[in-house]
Amino acid sequence: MPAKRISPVYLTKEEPNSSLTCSSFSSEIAAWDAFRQGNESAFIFIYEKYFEVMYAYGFSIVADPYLVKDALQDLFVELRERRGNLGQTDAIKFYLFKCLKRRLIRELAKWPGKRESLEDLPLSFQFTLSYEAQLIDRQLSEEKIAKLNIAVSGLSPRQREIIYYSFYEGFTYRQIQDMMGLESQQATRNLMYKAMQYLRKCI
Amino acid sequence: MKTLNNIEDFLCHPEFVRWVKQPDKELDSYWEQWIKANPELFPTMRLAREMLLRTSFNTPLSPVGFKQQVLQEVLRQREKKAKQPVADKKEKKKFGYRNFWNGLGQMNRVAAILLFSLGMGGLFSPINKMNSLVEEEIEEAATVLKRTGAGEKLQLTLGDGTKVWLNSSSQLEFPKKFSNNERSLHLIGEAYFEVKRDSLRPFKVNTDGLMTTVLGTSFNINTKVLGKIKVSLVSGKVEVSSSETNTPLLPGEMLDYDGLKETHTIGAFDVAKVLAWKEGVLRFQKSTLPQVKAALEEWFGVKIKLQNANGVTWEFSGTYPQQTLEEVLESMSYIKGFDYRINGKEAIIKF
Repeated sequence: MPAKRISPVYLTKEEPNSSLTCSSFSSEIAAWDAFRQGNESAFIFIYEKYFEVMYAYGFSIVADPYLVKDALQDLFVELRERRGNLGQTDAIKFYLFKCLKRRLIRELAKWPGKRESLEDLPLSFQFTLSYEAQLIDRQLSEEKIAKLNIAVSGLSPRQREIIYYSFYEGFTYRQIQDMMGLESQQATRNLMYKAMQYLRKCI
Repeated sequence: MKTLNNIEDFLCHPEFVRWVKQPDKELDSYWEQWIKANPELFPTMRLAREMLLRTSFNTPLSPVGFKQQVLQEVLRQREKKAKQPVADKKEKKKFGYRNFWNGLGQMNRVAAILLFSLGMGGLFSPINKMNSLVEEEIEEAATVLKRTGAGEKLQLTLGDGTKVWLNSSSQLEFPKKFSNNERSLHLIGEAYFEVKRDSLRPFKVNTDGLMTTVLGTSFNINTKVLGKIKVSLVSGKVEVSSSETNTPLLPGEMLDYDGLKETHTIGAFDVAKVLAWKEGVLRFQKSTLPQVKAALEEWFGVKIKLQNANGVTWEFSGTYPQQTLEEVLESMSYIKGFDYRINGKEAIIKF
């Protein structure tokens, strides 16, 4: 077999003539502002950057691909319609997540059995502790991980939700408070703390 | 000041979480100094870190086509609305926005332990010899080329401190000195990387038709069958790019890319199997006789001749950690009932 020489493909390299690359916008704030003023490159930039994480988030709330798809579609349609009236933001992802969550809950409320909050979604925000052995600095035995995973299944949907925002999305407590409608940052931190304390005690 | 005593204190500390998930030089420096000042909390901190790294959410990629379909639908509806200037504004208020979360840092970036395996056709072992590469093709100014033959493995440390283990019949090409904004390498074959963290210079591995970008930690790549690429992510998050797609991978997922059709699928993978080579473990899983022969030749750098093998069909499974050719053949010969002889770089298997 003839050996094939690698021809490097710099797929993420900026193309000077393309207005769609990240390089068009010096920051998220700039992209958002451009989008609000009707810049379609900025719209595509935002769409490309957030579609997949939003899908993942939506799917974590309700594991129904088509429901999530419809919600995303409606959300982006509305976002475009209202672009001139949108406020400034330096946290696009947070803003989009909030819109998506609201939409999904509204949609779920139409279903038989009326689910009006995430508390009513027992399967939302599932996670496990991976048994992956390649982690550097391994200390937890498989037995302990198994125990932890049993403990994880005992967490409430709300506890799993806050863990998702904190560990997976890197939201601040202030954002999480807003996202989950909690009354204070202290209450937000307490929710997280209780969940972590519960898990720690299982080790 | 919050005091950190327990695992839960660490796990609820936003700057600790940020350090584990999206480290930068400043955070590294902060926590390094912090733990020097509080050495008694080191074990607790390590456990918290491990728990955080192990946390793995079930968030699949969107089904193929969703992203384009939604975009087209969004743009189509936009056209429709534009023709009807009286847009309904029933939900205007619900979209109100409050701008009070100032001072938000960067969006989510997650460090990754990544495991690529490119071009593994069932068995990890490969027949694609690089020997026919012409020397002149590979000599380029200011680049370094490392190659291994069959039966050879190589460990090296790159200029930035990244450690690389290169599997047999593989080659790695990289600049003598990495540029200031990225660390770019070309790989054919298979390698395991422990990437020195450097958030300012992403680590990019180019393989035929795919590029994977990470900011730190460890991963394994293997490109051994032309046109087939597998990228497997152990932990964290990375992006795999081709001319068609730009796909983030999630822990436990393997992206299986077909370079000819330019299609990919996502599935699960077996880490032990993919990383066996680095640990010196020779593994077979339901392998045919030709596959076993090719794997042994590759692993030990020998030629194997089969005698009276017509009509012999194998479905062989076995694991051989750190064993010599003789040990492997001895064990196999009991199971499969054959005689063997080893003469230097040649072995004969006789049925």
